[in-house]
Amino acid sequence: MRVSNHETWALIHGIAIGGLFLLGFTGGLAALWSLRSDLLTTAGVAQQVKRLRLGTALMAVMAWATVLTGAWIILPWYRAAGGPKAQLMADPSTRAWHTFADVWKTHIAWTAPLLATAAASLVAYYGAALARDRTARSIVLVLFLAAFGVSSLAGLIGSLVTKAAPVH
Amino acid sequence: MPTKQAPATEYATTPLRSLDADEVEALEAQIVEAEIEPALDRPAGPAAAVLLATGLSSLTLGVLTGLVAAFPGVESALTISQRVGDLSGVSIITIAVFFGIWGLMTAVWRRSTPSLPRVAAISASFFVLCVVATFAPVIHLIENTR
Repeated sequence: MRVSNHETWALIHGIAIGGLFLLGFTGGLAALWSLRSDLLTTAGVAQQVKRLRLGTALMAVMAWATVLTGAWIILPWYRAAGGPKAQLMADPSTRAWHTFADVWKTHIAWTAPLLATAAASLVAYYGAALARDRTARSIVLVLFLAAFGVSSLAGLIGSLVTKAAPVH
Repeated sequence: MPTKQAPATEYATTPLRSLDADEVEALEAQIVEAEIEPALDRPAGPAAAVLLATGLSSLTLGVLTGLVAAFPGVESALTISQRVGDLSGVSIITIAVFFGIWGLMTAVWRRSTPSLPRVAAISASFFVLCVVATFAPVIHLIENTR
């Protein structure tokens, strides 16, 4: 059993960074969902804000790490002569994995770090005031969920493309 | 001259209004809110700046993707790295627009309070345009018009 350098990077890109991204999302969502001044004490708000800051910052950093490793490390191997792209394009039954799935995912995925960074910066800026400001809290929630939705979509497509033609 | 005092029985017989559970809860919530940092003590400008930067950079991503699909010259111009392809230029410009607009608008709006929902709605519409423009069938549709 041997894991190549390319496969190791594919695992880092998809599983290691993706796992930390999910961890940040889960912690941040739980904190954001319950961040309401009418439900919490002052100490409770402070604790939830700390968790929310950590979750959103982790999610934003991991979103950047995912797209940067994906575009600048994995994508060149995918596009190389004889690589997965060439394999998929050679067979009409698998061509759509590149022309539809991979093309879409590599572009739309770039919006995830933008959305996640916006969510993290709003949390950092407003802090505990988010507990009282419903509008700002709703905007953060939408950004947060959109970043997760885009990342999930890109991750799902990426794993399916990898299944069809792995990077060796 | 003796001062006139209310008979003790008057106080004793005036019933104190008791608060029900809902009223107590509402008062407690008010106290907690007062202890938390007020929501409106910070201008909305810096928050609106990052929202606008997100929308405009998403729009840039969508527009550049469309231009690459439509014009081979743009595709080669944006191919900063041969190994990565046109996505290298598209992503670098998108990142530059994001941080550039964010910094610029934060400086412009640092003391003002633009309508956050309005800026968010505009940015959301830019994001939707980006999703449409980067959708693979739309890219192929544009490519076929070359």
